[in-house]
Amino acid sequence: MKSEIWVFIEIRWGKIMEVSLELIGKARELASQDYEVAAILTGDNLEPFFCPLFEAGADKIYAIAHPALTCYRNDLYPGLVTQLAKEYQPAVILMGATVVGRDLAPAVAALLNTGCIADCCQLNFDPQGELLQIVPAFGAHAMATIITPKHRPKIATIRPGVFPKPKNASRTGKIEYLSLSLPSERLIFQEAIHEATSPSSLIVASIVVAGGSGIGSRGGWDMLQELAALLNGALGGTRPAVDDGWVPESQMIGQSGQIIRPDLYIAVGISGDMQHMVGVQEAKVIVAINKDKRAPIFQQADYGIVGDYKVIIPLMLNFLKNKEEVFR
Amino acid sequence: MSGLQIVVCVKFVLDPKDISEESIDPATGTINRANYKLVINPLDKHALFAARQLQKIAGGTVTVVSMGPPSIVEDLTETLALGADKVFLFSDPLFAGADTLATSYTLASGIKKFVSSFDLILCGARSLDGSTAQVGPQLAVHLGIPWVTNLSAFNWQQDRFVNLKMKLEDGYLSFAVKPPVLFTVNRDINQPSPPTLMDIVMARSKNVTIISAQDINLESNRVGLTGSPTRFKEIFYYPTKRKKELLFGSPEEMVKALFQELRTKGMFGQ
Ligand SMILES: Cc1cc2nc3c(=O)[nH]c(=O)nc-3n(C[C@H](O)[C@H](O)[C@H](O)COP(=O)(O)OP(=O)(O)OC[C@H]3O[C@@H](n4cnc5c(N)ncnc54)[C@H](O)[C@@H]3O)c2cc1C
Ligand SMILES: Nc1ncnc2c1ncn2[C@@H]1O[C@H](COP(=O)(O)O)[C@@H](O)[C@H]1O
Repeated sequence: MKSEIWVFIEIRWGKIMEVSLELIGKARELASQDYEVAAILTGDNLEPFFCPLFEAGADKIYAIAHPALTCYRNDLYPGLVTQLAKEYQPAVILMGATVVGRDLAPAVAALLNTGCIADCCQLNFDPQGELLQIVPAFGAHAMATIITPKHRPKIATIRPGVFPKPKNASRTGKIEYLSLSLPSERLIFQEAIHEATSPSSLIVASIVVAGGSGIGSRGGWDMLQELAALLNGALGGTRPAVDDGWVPESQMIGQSGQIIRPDLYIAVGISGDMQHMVGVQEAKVIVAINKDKRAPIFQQADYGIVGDYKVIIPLMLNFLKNKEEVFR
Repeated sequence: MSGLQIVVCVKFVLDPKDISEESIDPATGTINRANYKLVINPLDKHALFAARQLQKIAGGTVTVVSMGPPSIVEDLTETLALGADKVFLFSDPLFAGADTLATSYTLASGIKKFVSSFDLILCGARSLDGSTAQVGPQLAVHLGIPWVTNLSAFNWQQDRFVNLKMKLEDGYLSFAVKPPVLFTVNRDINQPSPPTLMDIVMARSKNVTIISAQDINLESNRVGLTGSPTRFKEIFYYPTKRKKELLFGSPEEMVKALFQELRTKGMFGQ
């Protein structure tokens, strides 16, 4: 029997979290001919989720259905996943680096006495079959590769948005219903409140304009907003821009915010710190506008304009408003 | 009841402002912490403040525990002014190179030994430098107690914690639980106030106890690098596939050149 790569499927508010499907897709790619991809699905009413999981790349679903599992709770989930892992001995367990995944994964790792790598941005097998788990390292423009050489399973949480969400409607697979005995409840569940935060417009936009702490004034942000609107794009920002209240938290780009993959990313007044740049690695084209010609962002951009945004952006707005004439 | 035995886990971290490419040792991917001033992980100050507020309501003792190099013993006295009654520093060459599993095991063994009947363990939701957010849940597993992570609010009611608000990306889950329990807190939990002069003066009469591996009953193959299932392999700088082309000329010329380039890439082409 082939060894398995598992993906924990997070169900929230009755839906599969996008990151779970992204990970199924990535697991399928990693698995190639050597492994099988199994989705670990827990919750109450599970049937509606089977199809999307197979379509995303799962070969197999382990389904654990129980009304007590409707919402995530760490007095039940980690014990169940651990029981299952002891029985089926997967090679790898992947989970989304959401609040829930980051609660569950380390607990399962501690219960199984194995390693857990938090917040990976990339996963690959090396030629020897070692799983390379790549995480952003410290404040510099660096990434670190971490491995779990001797322990099994290897457990990792992976940032939402780094892998595409595949779909192959013709796929299907096996479903295995499991009736495990639930661990005893230690928490008393009170309530679950879904606060419909407006989903970040950054994820779907094909053009993103972002500002950093170099903008610093209402007028400046209004200009960026106008640029984004003219380009039919979305406006984002760096952490300092969010901390200073210029852009909402949902529009923060980077390690602790959104990972985006637009066709065009325009960074204005942004220095190009790694924690920000990990969020835009997958952009097709990066344009940087910064008044400091030594700003690190120029080393990470396709096109750079050295200049004060207060001069450059109005010219860009002008250009876009008169596009027809200019290109003629 | 004679009040609550509260333990706060405090990590000393590098100030991210001090870190650059040169700070990182390419062989180990780590930073020699001895060369830098370490600061209290910001969320751990929130945890400490929560402990202090709870102690005002419920009574009891606040104990700070930290695993780290002996050099932080001075810095740890700050936690005494911030409300700790006792401070234990777990420090031993054997503990070096620990990942989260080994760190949480060491903290758990130390807590079991020195704070016999704890009711509440408080951690930051994540640390600034490691930022794994793993030590809290793993510590709870080692101690065999329930836990709630990323807590934005909580209340103490007679004999239990209620309205434990676990903040999610798009909402929250809330729970109640009886002690003993572990929480990891985020910055919504409170607004810590700096120590008063009185706090600072009072802190002078207390001190930090350094604890070595042999003072704790632990399995030495579960601590430090030996006890860490994860290994650093290499550090690399993101290979940039970017063109890095600086446009030149007057601002007008640069903007025009930019749009022309973008047009050749099929943007604004029509
Ligand atoms: C654990 C951790 C996680 C983090 N996560 C994130 C994250 O997810 N996202 C994120 O963005 N950051 C994150 N950060 C912060 C990150 O390290 C940087 O501090 C941040 O990205 C820098 O933002 P900035 O480029 O806007 O500001 P700065 O670094 O201050 O850069 C401002 C730039 O603006 C330029 N400038 C100033 N005036 C003008 C002008 N008039 N015209 C043109 N250019 C001008 C300056 O030359 C400078 O290069 C994180 C940090 C840590 C420690
Ligand atoms: N070496 C340590 N000593 C004491 N507490 C720690 C240590 N490492 C982590 N913690 C606690 O665990 C929390 C999360 O840390 P981390 O898992 O590194 O993100 C911190 O906010 C601390 O409360």
